[in-house]
Amino acid sequence: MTMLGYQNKVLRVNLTDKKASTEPLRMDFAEKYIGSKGLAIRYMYEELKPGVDALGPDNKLFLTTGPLTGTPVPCSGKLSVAAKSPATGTMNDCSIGGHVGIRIKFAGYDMIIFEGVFDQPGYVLIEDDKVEFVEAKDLWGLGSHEAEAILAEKYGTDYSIMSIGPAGENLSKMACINSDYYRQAGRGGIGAVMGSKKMKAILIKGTGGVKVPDIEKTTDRILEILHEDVLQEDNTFVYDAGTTAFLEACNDGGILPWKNFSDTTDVQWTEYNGDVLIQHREGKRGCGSCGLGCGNFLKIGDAVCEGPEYESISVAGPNAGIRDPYSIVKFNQVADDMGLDTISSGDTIIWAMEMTEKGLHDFGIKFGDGEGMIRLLKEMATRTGVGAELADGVKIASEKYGGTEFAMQVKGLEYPQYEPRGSWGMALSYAISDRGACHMRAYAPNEEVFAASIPPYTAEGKGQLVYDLQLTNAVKFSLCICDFWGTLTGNYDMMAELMRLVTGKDWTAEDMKDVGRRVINIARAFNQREGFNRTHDTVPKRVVTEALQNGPAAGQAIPPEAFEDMLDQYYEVMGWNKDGTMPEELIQSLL
Amino acid sequence: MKRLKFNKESCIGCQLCAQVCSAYKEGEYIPSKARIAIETYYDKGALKYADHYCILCGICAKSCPTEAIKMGEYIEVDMDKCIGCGICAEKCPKKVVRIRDEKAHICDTCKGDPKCVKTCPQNALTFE
Repeated sequence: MTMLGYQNKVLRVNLTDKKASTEPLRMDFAEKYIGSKGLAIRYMYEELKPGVDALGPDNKLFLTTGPLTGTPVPCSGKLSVAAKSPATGTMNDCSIGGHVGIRIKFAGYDMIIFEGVFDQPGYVLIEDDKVEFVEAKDLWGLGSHEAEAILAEKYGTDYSIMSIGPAGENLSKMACINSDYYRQAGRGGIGAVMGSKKMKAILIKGTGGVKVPDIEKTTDRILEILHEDVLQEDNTFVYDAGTTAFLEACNDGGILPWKNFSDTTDVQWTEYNGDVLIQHREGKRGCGSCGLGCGNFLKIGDAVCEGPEYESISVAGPNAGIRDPYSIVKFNQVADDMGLDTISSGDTIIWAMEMTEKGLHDFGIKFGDGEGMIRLLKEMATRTGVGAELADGVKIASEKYGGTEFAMQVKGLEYPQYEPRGSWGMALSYAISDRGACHMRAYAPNEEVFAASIPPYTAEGKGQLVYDLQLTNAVKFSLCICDFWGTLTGNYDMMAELMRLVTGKDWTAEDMKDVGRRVINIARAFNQREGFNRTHDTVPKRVVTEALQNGPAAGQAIPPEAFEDMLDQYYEVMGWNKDGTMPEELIQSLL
Repeated sequence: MKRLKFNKESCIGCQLCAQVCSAYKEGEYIPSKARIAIETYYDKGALKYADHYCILCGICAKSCPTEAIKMGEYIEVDMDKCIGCGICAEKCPKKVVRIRDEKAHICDTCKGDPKCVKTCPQNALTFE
């Protein structure tokens, strides 16, 4: 069976044998999980043996598009990059932008699966049905940006390039994968999985096409949606300001963290906000099939990046006690080049700052030290100096040196930059997220803080809230649509319409919700098989014991019983057991 | 005569123009066969633009040895006369003529109503 919109084809690349083969896409999976996030997790559940070593040859790297990828459906150009996470031991799916997603689809594949390991460092070159394996000794050890520049010079810009930096090579549990220089599959040490395979880069060029039913009618309708729904004020702020706009909203809402989440808000936030950063903007860039164009390409002196995004501004700015825009942009640039996730590496450094200031252990860095942050990034990526002690993230470092109560992480994944004491739903969201503390699974600040439609400082109703938010993102990300098409959130009718347009199959809004429920559950089922349960759905001690001192959320800490209450509510909504496990019949219904 | 104009400051490099062009002209989303190819990419720390689109300069029509290409308000290729020699593609200053199956495929601005312009989400493409 095949379906329009899909290529109905998987490319399986074995690095050990240096062989590639194709096979039909499992359409029984696609019907239940659509594409991208959902499809990748379903494949991982099927193909990754329980307990597999995340950095061993039996872990696999899944690049997964969706049926909308390569069509003009707006914001559909992203790609899921997934594997078992070496940081958390859970499944891990990341979403990367740029143009690599649409090029995989145009090369003729819904999905590429990398298996095994190279015997020597190498890269893989894919042009339509041609797959080449090339040695990369000269590239090994180089920064991701330098490696990409060399490969682009050699092969031309018709190829999209994914690459890792030294952090990935040295198996840092915070290593990311870069593409188009400034786009990342960032979290959970996904770059270390690529590094463990000794695969420095993946190059992809595609000259084929994507077929859909009644293409003129389909395209007419997609263009109507582009102009009437996507290019509206609620979404276009991402062109004007990008995610820098969140800085003001988070500061005003009391959820902008300060000095390793010891407090919130910064009275001097305007020194490094979007208005300041955008003065240095040299151009705008979006992903393939985008329409909105969130990327701010900017330069401050020798510091260059596309961004910085809110997360990086926060972690290298107020959360590090820093207000210097140059320092923030430089941090972003070096983290990208070293192949380190800015959130995880930043959180680890600011924890080290607090450890040093409190005299618990001297990591040679204190709050406000922008140059020290750059030095530590390089040391972490190469496992040298003090950085060697920090290269695997804040959980492992704090288990060795103490300070676990202010090590901001869940399951070994460091906290994103939304202080949960000012948005209690986020404490639950981070706790139950399928890959540790992630803000992309269920984003509560919209309701709890920005729109203020739900009271933030209460456990009441948060189980249902987080489930509702998680459900819509699970579908959106399985359609492979970017978060920034904000007006699609919760609009299951339009999601179903997009699927009808592209596949010709009769999808309904209820079908979409069914897909979302399956996606959340199959991720949990994977993690349960790896031994995860309620005891792993945690909150850092700081959040439940220390009240905030400043800002709109001053006085707030989340009482432990309120956190447990939120967990109970959420498990009940999900139909899971009190201990966070899933009934066996529920797992069977997913397969 | 109205022509396509490209304002690179507004372009975000989404390639929706090429996807939509190929949809109406080739019956699938296949940018490699589109009659427009506008891309952005990074090179040596700078944001660069590749802007292959028809500017209606008429060089293809003038250089065609079989008079297969006519230029009025837009370009028309007489496929019966076209021998696929590729001279038009060689001479095209914007490198936007595609030779495929021994025929020249050239932008006809959708006969004066270009879909790429209607598509462009940031108004980087105009027809004036």
